[in-house]
Amino acid sequence: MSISARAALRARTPEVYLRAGFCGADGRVRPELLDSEAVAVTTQLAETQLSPQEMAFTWEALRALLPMQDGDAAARMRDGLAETLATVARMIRQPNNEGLVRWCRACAGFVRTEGDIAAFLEHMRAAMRLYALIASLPPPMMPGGGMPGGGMPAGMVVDPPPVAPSSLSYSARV
Amino acid sequence: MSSVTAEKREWVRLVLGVSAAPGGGVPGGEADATLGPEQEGRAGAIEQALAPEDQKKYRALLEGAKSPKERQYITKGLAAKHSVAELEAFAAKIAGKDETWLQDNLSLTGASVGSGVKQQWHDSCGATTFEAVMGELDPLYALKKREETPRTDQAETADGGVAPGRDAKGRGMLGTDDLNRISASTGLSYENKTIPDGGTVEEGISTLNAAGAKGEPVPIVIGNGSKDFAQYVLVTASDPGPPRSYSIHDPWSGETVTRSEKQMRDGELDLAGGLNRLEAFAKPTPVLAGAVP
Repeated sequence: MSISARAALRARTPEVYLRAGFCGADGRVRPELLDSEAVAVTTQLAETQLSPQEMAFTWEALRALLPMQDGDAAARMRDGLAETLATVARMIRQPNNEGLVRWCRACAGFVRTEGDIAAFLEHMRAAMRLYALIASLPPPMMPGGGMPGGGMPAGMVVDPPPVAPSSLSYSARV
Repeated sequence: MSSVTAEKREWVRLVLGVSAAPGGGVPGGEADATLGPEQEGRAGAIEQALAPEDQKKYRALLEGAKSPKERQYITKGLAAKHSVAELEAFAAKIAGKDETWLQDNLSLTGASVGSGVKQQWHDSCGATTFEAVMGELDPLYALKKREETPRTDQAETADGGVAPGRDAKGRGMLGTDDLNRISASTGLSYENKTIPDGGTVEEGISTLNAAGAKGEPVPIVIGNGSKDFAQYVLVTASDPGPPRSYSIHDPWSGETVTRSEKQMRDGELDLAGGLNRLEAFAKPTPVLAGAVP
């Protein structure tokens, strides 16, 4: 069951879940982009070992840089994202996480209106909230009170171990 | 920002397998990571729009810069839409400073520790993720933040304080320190509440209902009683019904299921292979700085 559940989440890429666009008939972000589709995003991003802080930097930079872009919504999103990724790479002094780049670019390709931009930012923040939580979760306790190897939720990282691999163990910062 | 000491560089080299340049330069990457082409283009456009007198003053600032780096930071300041008068004061402050000083004082992202999902960029001045981004886009903002916050190089957290123990509640609890570090961006901070010592099942349900109405996810611990903190799952949504129900995602299995408020209250959750009771929850508190404009 868990394998098929994860497979289903992996299959929910922007190319699939954004076919209906970012916004509903009321012009607001579709609710599933803040819930179930955001969960799918976290599953996909966890597999690329994205740092939650890098995701937060990217979201903040995008918010700051979009108003500085010219052109229609699609062009502003495309150019704003390009500058955002370059800015974050300079900040963290390393290349951007590939999974985040892939996901952002796929979403950006569906932006048509100003409302889409606002909806994308909401979608990204919902995914960021969930992702930050998941990255902070301690692993399940084993029967008897012990803990397994720990780490990110196992199946989200590699496919599909029953317990978390020790090489990805979560460690308390003390 | 914590300066990248030789000791830290060696640690980074050993642990991450990369070399961190003095001053935190790009390891093996582009030689100049100060000014992006978009910022340069934006500064050029702003310069063209300046009054002739200001254009002259700005050109004089660039020509008087003691190094290419100084020149780039002044250009970056113009791209951030500072006035020429502000840039003159800024140029005077950074005149003659070496590259390490410029790097350490004109941005708000310090060295990183950890790798992959655990990687965090630390800084001694207490910058939030929002402030770190602003500092990257605007060197005058970064310098002002530096001047307002004395360096505390012993600090090793992004919050600028001495690294705290992880919640002081021991193993198995949610890592709220790491989570709260980016709360200015997520718009939420979290506090662990264990049942029955720190809260009740009813308080947990109230938290879930309030958070669900605002679209805020809530981590909960499920178990089988007597402080059996067996496993965390996430309540990602709440349907007010009636009857009220919750979407509960188990990131370990990838499954998302629905459970009613009554099942939550009565300890009949039957999740993750037979875990039934709400044992703890992490209460979210809004952080206004992260609001979507």
